[in-house]
Amino acid sequence: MITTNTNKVLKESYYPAKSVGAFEQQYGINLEVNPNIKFKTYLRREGLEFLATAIERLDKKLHS
Amino acid sequence: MIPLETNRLNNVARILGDISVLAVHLKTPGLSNTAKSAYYRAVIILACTVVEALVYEVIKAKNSGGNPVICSKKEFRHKQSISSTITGGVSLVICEPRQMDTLLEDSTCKFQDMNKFCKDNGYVTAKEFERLNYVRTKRNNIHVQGIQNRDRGYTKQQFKLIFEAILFLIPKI
Repeated sequence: MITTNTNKVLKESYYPAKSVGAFEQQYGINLEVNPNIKFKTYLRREGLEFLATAIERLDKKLHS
Repeated sequence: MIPLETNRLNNVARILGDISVLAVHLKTPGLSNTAKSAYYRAVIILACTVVEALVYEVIKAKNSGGNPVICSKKEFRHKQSISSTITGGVSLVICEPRQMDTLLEDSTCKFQDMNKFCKDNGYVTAKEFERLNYVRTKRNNIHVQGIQNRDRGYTKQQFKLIFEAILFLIPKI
């Protein structure tokens, strides 16, 4: 369904799958954790497994 | 030019980001139950919009990007009243019945009709359909026009139930 020539655009704008640091920068917030860890890893640690899984599944779909 | 479907999925990704930032704020120590409910109301309505977008995407994907007929309803056009002198005082109207198709991309295509279409075509199971219906009802309840009861008491459990719909819809795209 998704054409490969759009991947660059998607990678640039799709931040939830990136690091905590990228997320903090995007929203201007400070999560007070290691900014290098994956954002979905952080969500899982915070008990938001379902949100992390949704982000992961959508990320795979967008970049497949 | 980015295809519409990709834009929509990209927006879904952005909304998941927005939901995440609200969910993170929910972890703030000492947050009152009223504040938590307010945050949950916001994330729930956002999650409902994601579900609706994903249902649309599932239908698109299963129909090879086409624009299928989602539902067909009978409409009555060119209504004409018949004079009561002819009908003997009875109120009678003649009209032209016509079958009107609603396509997926029509602005009149409703969430409810898309859910039923998914069920009828086997895109979702009966159990999944029930969950989609729950999401639709929840969304309607949160709409200002739909608020009739006390508008509070939104919880993580409700948030999770809506996300279960997101989780089963994504792999179907």
